[in-house]
Amino acid sequence: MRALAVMVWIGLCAVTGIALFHVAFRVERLETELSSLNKTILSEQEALEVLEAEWAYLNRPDRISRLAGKYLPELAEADASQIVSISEIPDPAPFPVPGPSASPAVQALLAATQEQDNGQ
Amino acid sequence: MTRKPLASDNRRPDTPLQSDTCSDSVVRQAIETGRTRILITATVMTLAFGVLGARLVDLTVLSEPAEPRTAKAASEETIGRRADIVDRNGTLLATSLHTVSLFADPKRVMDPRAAAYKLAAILPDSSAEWLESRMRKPGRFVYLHRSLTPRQQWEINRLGIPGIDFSGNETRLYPHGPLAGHVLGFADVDGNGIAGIEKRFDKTLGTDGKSVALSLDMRVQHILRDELTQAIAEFKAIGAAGIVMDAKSGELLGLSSLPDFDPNHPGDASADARFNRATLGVYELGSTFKIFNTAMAIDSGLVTMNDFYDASKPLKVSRYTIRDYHAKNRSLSVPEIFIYSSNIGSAKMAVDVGGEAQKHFFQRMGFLDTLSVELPEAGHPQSPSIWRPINTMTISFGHGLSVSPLHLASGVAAMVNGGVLMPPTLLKSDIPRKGRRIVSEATSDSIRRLMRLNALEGSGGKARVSGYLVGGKTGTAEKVGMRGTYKRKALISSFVAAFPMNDPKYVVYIVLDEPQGNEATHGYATGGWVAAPTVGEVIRRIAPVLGVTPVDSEAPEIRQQLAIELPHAQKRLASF
Repeated sequence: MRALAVMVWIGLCAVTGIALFHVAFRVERLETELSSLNKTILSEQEALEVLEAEWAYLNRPDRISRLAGKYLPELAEADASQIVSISEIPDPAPFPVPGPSASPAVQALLAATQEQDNGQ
Repeated sequence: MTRKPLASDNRRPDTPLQSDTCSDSVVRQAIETGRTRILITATVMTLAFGVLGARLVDLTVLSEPAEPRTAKAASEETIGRRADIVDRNGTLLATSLHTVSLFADPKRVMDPRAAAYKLAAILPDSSAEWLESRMRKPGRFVYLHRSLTPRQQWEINRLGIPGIDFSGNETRLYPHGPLAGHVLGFADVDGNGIAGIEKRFDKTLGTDGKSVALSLDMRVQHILRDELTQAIAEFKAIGAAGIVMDAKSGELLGLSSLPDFDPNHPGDASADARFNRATLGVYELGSTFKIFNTAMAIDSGLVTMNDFYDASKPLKVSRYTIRDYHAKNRSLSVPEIFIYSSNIGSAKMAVDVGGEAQKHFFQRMGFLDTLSVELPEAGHPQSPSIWRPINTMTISFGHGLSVSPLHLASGVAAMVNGGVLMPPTLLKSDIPRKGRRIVSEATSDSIRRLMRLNALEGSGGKARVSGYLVGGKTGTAEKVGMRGTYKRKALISSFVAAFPMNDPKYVVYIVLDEPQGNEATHGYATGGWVAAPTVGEVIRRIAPVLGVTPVDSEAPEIRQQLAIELPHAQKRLASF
């Protein structure tokens, strides 16, 4: 009886020890991983800063207008006469009624949509 | 020694003690004591371990069952980075980049000459002699180069010179270069703000690293600077300032002063280039002041739009003579005084209102105090110490009171936006700002009509843009020369405009410093000839960007909103 108890305790101690070391090693591995991830994040952040600065640099209005003049010579500045409000646009053409050429599936779908609209 | 059961021993306490029974009871007592002690110790130990165990369970299972989720490591190292400055749309205007610097420990550099020659081959902008002299300096730390490229760093590392090392630091970068140089200012190599927004918000940007969002719109800023550059080239001006301001909120969408400088290399700029003409410079801005003079006169109730003033002959006050530039030599109505820019009429209007009221008016407008804007470069107006009648007269047409162009733009915004002065700001504000009322709604409405009329029939015709109801006022002032006399040929020519004039959203102000007339302007260098066209071009280009809906200026409701009826003169002035 006593021997059994001793055996059980020794066994328990051994299992605990192994588990402890296992956890300790895993923590160590995760910490290494964490610090390398943090390093990556930092370097990515730095890269982002550089890229953002570069983006702003490349999007300088004077550069864009120079490039537009070079590669898009037909493009002109918007003129006041080109801007109208939506109410000034005449009503768009009414929804085209599907002719006989429309497939039966399309006609059925349209009929269903119309029914739904009428129901509301 | 006989052994007796304990019970029998206890039952006879009065038996005379024999020597062996005596020793026996001592032993028993000792055992009893021992047992009690063991019991106490065991209890204490059990309790202690119980507490420890409970605490262990509490810590591991109950209170924080999971590993605290912290991402501290990543953010900790980025603290100390100077924050970004962005415009109202989030475009990056100033940022800090991590760079690598090269330094030397002169004590450990064994052969400075050889090291200098090797380094000079890699660093093209430093000479070997300069590097060598740096490395011969006493001390343990000298900078050899700031912000190396990764390739230079790798090559220097490969040389393996002892005593040479790298240190990480940050470099302030302004991707837009000179575009908003005067607004942004710059920071020194150690990240301390020296001028502009960088200086004003040094603490905000530096310590807790909060980025600052400006009210500027880089598209508007670019258009403004572009047009100013063209105007300077065309009229050979020595400088120019331009302002685009939201008339209702006081936010500055564009603020440019030329010549300007690249904040990436502030050391290369001349003192003139670093001088902000739009905010720091104070000038006598001329006839644009007639907007304020007319508003003040109408708002006082003493003068109405239907009043006439005799402008038939020059006005003589003590030893001064006030003349009209475009003399009509007859009686002029208040709108005519405005559109013909009559100095005589304006002076008489100001006299009717009185010097005290005029001073009070400009006081409320902030024209006698240092400019209130988020820049350290804020100009202080020059006003007469004693407000004499002659001062009242000259100030009515913009002489004798020097203010910064931004003072004037914010004042004009107040005159046209319904009468409320909004202190100009360079910060983007999402909540409505509070202003203070200067003139009534009705007065503001009259000023809008007058400014529109001036663009249609008066001196501001060159600022007209089809589709946008531009209204404005010219200003031409002679600069004060060395001995306090006015220089005939050195002018400050300006034009201030607002659009759309029936409900002004933006104020545009352009000032040219010493422009020269050319053939296209028939030799004139006045505001109407040199500044008004620039204002027109700026408005034509920025209005679509800012989403201002074009309107038909011939539409009856628009004409009615901006017309001026003159009952005394039989003619209707506001013919469109």
